[in-house]
Amino acid sequence: MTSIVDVHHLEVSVEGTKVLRNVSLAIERGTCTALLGANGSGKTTFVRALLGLQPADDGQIIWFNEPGVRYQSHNRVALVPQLLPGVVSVPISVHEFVASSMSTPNHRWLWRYTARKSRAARVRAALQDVDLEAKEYRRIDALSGGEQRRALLARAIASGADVFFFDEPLAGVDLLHQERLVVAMQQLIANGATVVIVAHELEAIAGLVTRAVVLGGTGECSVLYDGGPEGIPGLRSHEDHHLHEHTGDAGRLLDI
Amino acid sequence: MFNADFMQRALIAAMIVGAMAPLIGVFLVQRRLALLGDGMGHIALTGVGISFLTGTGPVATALVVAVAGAVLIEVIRTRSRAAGDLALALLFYGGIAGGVLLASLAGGRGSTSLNAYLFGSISTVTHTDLYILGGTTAVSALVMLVFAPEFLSISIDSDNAVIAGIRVRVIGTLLAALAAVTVVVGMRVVGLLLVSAIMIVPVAAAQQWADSFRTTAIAAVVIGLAATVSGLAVSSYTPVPPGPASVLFALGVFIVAALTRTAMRAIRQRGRI
Repeated sequence: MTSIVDVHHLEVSVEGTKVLRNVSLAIERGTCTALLGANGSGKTTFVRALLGLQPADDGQIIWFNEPGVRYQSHNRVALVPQLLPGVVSVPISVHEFVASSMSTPNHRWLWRYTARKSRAARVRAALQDVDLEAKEYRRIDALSGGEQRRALLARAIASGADVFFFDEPLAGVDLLHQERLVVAMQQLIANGATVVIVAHELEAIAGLVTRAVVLGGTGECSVLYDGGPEGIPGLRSHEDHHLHEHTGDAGRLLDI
Repeated sequence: MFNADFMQRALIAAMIVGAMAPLIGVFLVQRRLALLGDGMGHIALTGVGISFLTGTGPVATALVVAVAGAVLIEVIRTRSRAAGDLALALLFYGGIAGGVLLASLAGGRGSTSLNAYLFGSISTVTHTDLYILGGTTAVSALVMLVFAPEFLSISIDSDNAVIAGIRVRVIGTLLAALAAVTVVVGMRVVGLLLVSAIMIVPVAAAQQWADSFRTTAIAAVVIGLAATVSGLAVSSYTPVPPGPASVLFALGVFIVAALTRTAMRAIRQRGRI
């Protein structure tokens, strides 16, 4: 399998405190990986470091098997954050919000003006994918929480990415909207996208995931488990009791 | 009233400011940097002081100092979030104190005409100024045309802009430099102390009713134009400088917009019950 990203011995500190120590893992194309761990286990930090939003102390991150090349030059990666980034100062329509991911230096600037129609069509298609086309010209901050999550997903889809990182996509979303989001993620995977889902519980996304990585530890965190999602219940075995303590929510949920 | 030669020059300058300032301001408000323009006005004052002392053109000198200040501000801001706020305050106060000091050193000529730079004056726009204003405005408009999508992207969500491959620091600095240019362009007709109000107040008024970034920007430009032109008109009939008149006009629009919006909401809610 070709890997999307290879991480070797990654070390990350946040505000002077070491959060991740010696994390190595590879994410293969077309897979759906759950990145699990209790609060503070460094899973969000890990994703932020991967995407260059958080500087790493040490280690190597190689995207698309091209050492030294910024992943941004491919336009293939998108992050679906947990919340809107506080876009309430100036009114922004859902359309504008979704289209904002389509302005990248990889496009010749004239394209932004000449390809208006096809850009608008792409925004509309992305909104249809998440069942939000009726709200295209609403203000983004007037949407409900679940709708905002879907707008965030639409923005990622419109960017043209085929590698998606989801940060706690279902946390704080009611069941109906959870189902819709899971269906949308299922569609992405069916279309061949690579998906990484940061979550503190596996339950709702268990059907999507082909691999689970559990981060945890006391203080500095590292990979505690890496394998099939069905393997995590093994944490219940006696020897792994210590491990279980550190995996927190992820282990506990599967304990039921 | 716009027949006199100096009035025509002032009118052109006023229209440039009225259109350009809100266009930059809408991005600043979205980035939560509404007070950035104010600080740049302070820094530009040092440029004016230098020009009094050395005899160089005030607009050109202020332009150089303000743009340098803008770059410095962005560097400080991105280096440290926590100390950034304090460092900016120091820079701003240093700017205004330095400007007044240098102007005083230049003797009577400097300190008496400083008022014209602080609050605007319709009679000070020279032909040379107009060429510089026209040139910088053309360049700014071109930069805006090319980079508006990037400006919007970093203003909405800088993390997402990084992922899209936008050099957020470079683009942020470019936006700050544009704001500095606008401050200097507005120095003549609105004055350094109030020019940032023309960047921000029309945006605040426009966003009361708008439901997209685009409509906010367009409405803000219309309000900005109306404010600077009417400020100039008031100034030509009364002893009031054009700056305060323009800003009070824009504030008036804001108050009306905010009140009508609140009233509409109240009516709508009553209807629902």
